[in-house]
Amino acid sequence: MMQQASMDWMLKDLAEGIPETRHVLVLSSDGLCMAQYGTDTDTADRLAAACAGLQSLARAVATELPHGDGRMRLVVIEMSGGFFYLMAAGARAYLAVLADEGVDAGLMGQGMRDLVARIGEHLTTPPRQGRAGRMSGTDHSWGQDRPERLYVITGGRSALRAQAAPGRPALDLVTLVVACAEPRPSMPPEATAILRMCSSPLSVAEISAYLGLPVSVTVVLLADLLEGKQVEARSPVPRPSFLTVR
Amino acid sequence: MDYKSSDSGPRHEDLLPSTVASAVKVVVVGGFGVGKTTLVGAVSEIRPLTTEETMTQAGAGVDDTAGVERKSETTVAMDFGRISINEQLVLYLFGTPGQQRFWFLWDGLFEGALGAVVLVDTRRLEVSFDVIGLLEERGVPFVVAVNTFSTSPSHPLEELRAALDLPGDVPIVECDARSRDSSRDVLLSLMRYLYSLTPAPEAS
Repeated sequence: MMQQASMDWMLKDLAEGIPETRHVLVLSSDGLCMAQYGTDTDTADRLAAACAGLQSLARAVATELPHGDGRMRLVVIEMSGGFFYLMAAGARAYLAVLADEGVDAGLMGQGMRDLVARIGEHLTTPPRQGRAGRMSGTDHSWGQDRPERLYVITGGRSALRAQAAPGRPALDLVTLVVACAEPRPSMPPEATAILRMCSSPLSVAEISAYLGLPVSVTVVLLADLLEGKQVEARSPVPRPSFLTVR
Repeated sequence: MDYKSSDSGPRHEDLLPSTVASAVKVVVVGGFGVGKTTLVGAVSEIRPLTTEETMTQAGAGVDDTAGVERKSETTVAMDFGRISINEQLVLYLFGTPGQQRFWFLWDGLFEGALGAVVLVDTRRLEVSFDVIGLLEERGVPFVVAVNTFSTSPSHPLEELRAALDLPGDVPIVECDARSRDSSRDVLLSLMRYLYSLTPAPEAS
């Protein structure tokens, strides 16, 4: 998994940068080990499961503080022979470190905070993958946290209303779109991008992927361009009725 | 956000010829973690689009991870790949999550789809029941592909057919979703099945 591979080296940095570090792992809030360094899979899974319990207990304690926000930031366990640290890292992830006695607590705190800053970034932004970077990965740039941007782009219109225009075939995921006009400087950036990429036929699904916008928003934008005769649509082959099994 | 053509839009080698007139759609469905994304990626000629959302606590107890405990992400959107059939026709292959709470995605997806591949994992056969039921309800023709994991118990295909309560004419095949050839063979069996449903032209 892309995410895991690129996180492993960050864990290695921490483990090798701070003496006495034994195990480093990143786990999800549901107790799954997402990345680890310096341990075997079984140990990592066991630790990850235990950490899920610890963070949930810590959260329960945190709710007792009336002025707090109920979030757990750090759990430290001092035991004979060593230390254990569990730090919140982003919305859904935790960083856990097991270290031998003699570890420099200040250095460890600093190292973990630095790593959390990097992991947090990693968990919330998509990894760029080369030139067509927007094609895959977890792209939240248009996610639920920013609905207002989608509203601005579409002028508040929904795909349903865009679809309903008379005399025009509905836009399917695999309707092929071809540009028949050059982008003008006065056009919104999304329209310009669509016209550029549709110099060759491209499906609605692909356009949506390259724009990094949901299909429903892309359909609204395409409906405008169809209306203005700036693009043309080639409808998909429908499923013939004999292929409906009853 | 900028839309420089270098980082948004298809790569030069991913461009379709301008002669392409239409497209057809095939859907790959299956339970949680059976390898839909892998299968789409194996046969696609373009780098497949994948939108994934990390599985979180909300999914615990909802998504049964028995047998796939190491999977830390689950697909909540669609993956798709593309295969050019000829100069005029392209096939798009959509992978879609089988969990019931994502069925709202299916409406736009199955409209017009030629057929479907149901990918199953013999370790967790029961997750496929709902998916198959829904396809039958919608009248979408489908084939069943058994993704062979190294730790999967192996069963004769006829026993699987009985376990899944499949009609006798629905093809069931074994595959390795990681292999391009094997995934292609799955699509070919779907195609042969669709062909067999086509009524013979009436003699005039």
